[in-house]
Amino acid sequence: MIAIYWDVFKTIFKNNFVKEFIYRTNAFAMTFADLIWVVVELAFFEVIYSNIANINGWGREQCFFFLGIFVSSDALFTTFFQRSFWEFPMLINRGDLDVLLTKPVSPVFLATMKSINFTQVLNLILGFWIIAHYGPAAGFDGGLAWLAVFFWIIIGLATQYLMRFVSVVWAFWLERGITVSALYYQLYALANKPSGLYPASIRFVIKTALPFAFMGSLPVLSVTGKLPLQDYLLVAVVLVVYTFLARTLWKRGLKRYQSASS
Amino acid sequence: MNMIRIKWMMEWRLAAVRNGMKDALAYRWDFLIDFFTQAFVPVGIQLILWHSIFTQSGTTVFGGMKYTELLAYTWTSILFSQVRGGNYDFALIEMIRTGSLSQSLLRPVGPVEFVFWRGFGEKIFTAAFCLFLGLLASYFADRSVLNLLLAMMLAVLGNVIHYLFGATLAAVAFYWENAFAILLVKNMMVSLLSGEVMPLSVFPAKYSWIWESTPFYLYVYGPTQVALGKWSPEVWAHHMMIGFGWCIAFAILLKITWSRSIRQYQGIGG
Repeated sequence: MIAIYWDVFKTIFKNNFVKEFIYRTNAFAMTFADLIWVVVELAFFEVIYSNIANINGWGREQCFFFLGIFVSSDALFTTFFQRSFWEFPMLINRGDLDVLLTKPVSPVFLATMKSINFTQVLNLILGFWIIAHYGPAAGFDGGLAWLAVFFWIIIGLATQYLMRFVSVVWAFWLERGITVSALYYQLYALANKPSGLYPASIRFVIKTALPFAFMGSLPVLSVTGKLPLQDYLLVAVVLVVYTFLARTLWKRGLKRYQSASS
Repeated sequence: MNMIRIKWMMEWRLAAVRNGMKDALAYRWDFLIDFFTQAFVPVGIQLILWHSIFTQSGTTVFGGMKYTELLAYTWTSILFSQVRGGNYDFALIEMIRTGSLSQSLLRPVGPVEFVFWRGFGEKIFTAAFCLFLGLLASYFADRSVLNLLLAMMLAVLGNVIHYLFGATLAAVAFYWENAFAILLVKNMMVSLLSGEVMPLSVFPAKYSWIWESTPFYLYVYGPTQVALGKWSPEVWAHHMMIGFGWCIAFAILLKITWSRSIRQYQGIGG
């Protein structure tokens, strides 16, 4: 079974690589554009910390270290899933999901992995560079602690996948599910700032209902040894609940699906 | 003959605006969700951030602004960040990439202008609603209605500059097959340098030349300053002149880039 999925993934990878580099100049420009996004985020924190030294224990270095982990996790998600999730509502609205339902592999796998974006590679490298550069000043020891960083990047990736899935699956019920995707990305602004910058109520929300904190804030606290034990348990519980929610919504959505223009 | 021509020129533009309005209202729930998410979610996050900065760091002034001033700026800036919005330039690159520009070239209307009016039609409800909200707020917050109207004029001018700039950049699609990335970069720069993320006055003085040397500050920061009464009508007039200058410069650039670049067009994509 794994071999079949691996073969399918290889084919998707090859097809997308060719598709991406049909428009070579645009692909390179997109890489540059994605780098600019990181620069804009860095500039934002630079402006904030040029006016203030510390916000609730988060200094400039901690913030940049946070950004490094967040950027790495986001780059992985964008590479493998983001485009597919943008196209997901169209699959339902146009009835293109029919084709995926007839294939001998999971339609969720095909629907969420069919488009790979190769322009985020530099962001991934930049993310790791930021971690390495600002980490020591933020209390990150390096060495074996890198394993914890990789672990949390995968957790961030899984979190974003589940949240994004739950946000797009509403396309089964809405006329144009793309609007909920837009809402997700508006709320995503909560993810690219450290949790310490928010009041307690928002910190609670981004650790439970909208677990954006798993993509950057909690990883920073964890690798610098400041994450309370109960928060590890919270991460596990929230991810399990999200998985259950995603599966339930998908199954109910499929029952409602009526092919084209459902 | 001249009257017929003038009538035609008016009619197709109005038809394009109507077409855009109808398109925006075709999916009413999406339109409403779009409006509220685009207007209020980012502002909500900014307000939370300002609250945290002031309460959790114990400071009373941030970038020369008090907490109440930052709140007033953030709330007021919603009105103009919605007006400046609009990514009609992306429609142009899509037309070039897919070859659907060919159909537009056969029509007796310019594709660049047609896309603008159609996009403006989509935005017109948002702009009208923002103006209504602004007028309502000016009644309760004791703000000058004249200032609000002047500010809205500046924001509309910003919308035009934004499109002219985007359309000029879109000409790159004739050479690069797809210029999506370049417009994306433009939007990222605009989000930071227009003042919709934070007031530009909080930028460190040594970096202020960056936003001062672009027209982006006329989109949100400028109108907000006018609406809040921090820019006098004289200063407003000065910046309107600067805005018109940018418009003329981009209009000329647009003419040059499109007239040259369109020679690359092959009708099967750029």
